[in-house]
Amino acid sequence: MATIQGTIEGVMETWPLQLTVAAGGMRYLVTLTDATTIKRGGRPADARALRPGFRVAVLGERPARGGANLLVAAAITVFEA
Amino acid sequence: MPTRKHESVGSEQPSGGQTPPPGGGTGAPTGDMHSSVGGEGTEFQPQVPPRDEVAEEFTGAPPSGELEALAGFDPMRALNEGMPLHLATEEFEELRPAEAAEYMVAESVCGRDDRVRVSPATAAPWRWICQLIITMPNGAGFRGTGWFIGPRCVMTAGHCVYSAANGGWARRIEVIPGMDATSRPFGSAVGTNFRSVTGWTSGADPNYDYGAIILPTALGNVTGYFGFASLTDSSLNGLLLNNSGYAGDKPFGTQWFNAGRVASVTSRKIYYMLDTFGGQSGSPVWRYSNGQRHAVGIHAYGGCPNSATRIVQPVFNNMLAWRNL
Repeated sequence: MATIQGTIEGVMETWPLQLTVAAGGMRYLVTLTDATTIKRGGRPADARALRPGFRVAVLGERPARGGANLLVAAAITVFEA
Repeated sequence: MPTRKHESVGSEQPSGGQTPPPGGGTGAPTGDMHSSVGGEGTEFQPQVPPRDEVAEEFTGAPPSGELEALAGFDPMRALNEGMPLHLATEEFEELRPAEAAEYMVAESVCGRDDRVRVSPATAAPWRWICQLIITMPNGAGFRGTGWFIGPRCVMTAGHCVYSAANGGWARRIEVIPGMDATSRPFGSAVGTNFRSVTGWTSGADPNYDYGAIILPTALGNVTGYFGFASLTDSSLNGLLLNNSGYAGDKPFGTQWFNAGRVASVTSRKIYYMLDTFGGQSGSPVWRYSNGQRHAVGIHAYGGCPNSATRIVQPVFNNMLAWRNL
């Protein structure tokens, strides 16, 4: 598992959503799944709470293939802007 | 029918008949049925076309005739966008009180949700718009939206056909035109042959987030398909836009319509406040004028303003090439 903290740059509107997150000088491509949990203000939230500009922490798995900037999100914590 | 499943990166030209460069550069294994057209994103040279380019729509010839569709949409908000503040009182009436403990806002429903369901979706243009059921290489499933631009070609967002975080090119995409809940009035087709550009597949650049599904059957000859246009900044500014797609916060398989005005444009994007939601990635953003419909963008991102990949000259050229596959 890997954790990144950064800022949501883009919310791609498949369902589930896919995100681009700027963190540590890199652009991460983050994919949500039906099992991704989201918390905001310490309480469960849904994907509708994810907005560009919000600061987030993403806990996820790196795919077996591909670059280090890819994550399949298990959990997202929203700190907002 | 294209002879190769995948085309690899080339210059910014129509994608048919190009020889794959070594290694491809797209992440697609050799022998796959997908193609990224190069030049889009390898060197960005902003272009504002000196004139509008238009490819015409084809209404289609459904065997059972057409049904009129869509009632209940209040056009006033969309028409009033950009008008003086004192005319926009409905927006303020919908605001929750400041003392509310929590104000959860759907990230791409902008203000009051005035989306209207399209049911049935058997008339033009609704039947040109398709529910996509996407299966990625890692087995992950997604929903999106696509729209016919030719007999076999369904336009959508790049991230619907290629997702690096999910293993690259989609494994398969089922395309269901005019889907209405459990109704599949034109059946469906499964695509395993996709197109996009290197700006998306290699660069993951949102400015190049567009792609297409090339179907094995010419289902677009039954449903008909959108025309599309590359418009100048002056033609786009203030333009009234239409959008419809398969939103993930609504019952599965239902198509939802909204409209609004262009809020702003960049050289590669169109921004607007019309309501969208996850699942509508890939849906058409179109101009309806003098009885003609021309898509001007491919919806891809939420965030209020929401945004589409703008159909500019290179995008238009790729779409023309893909339309003829």
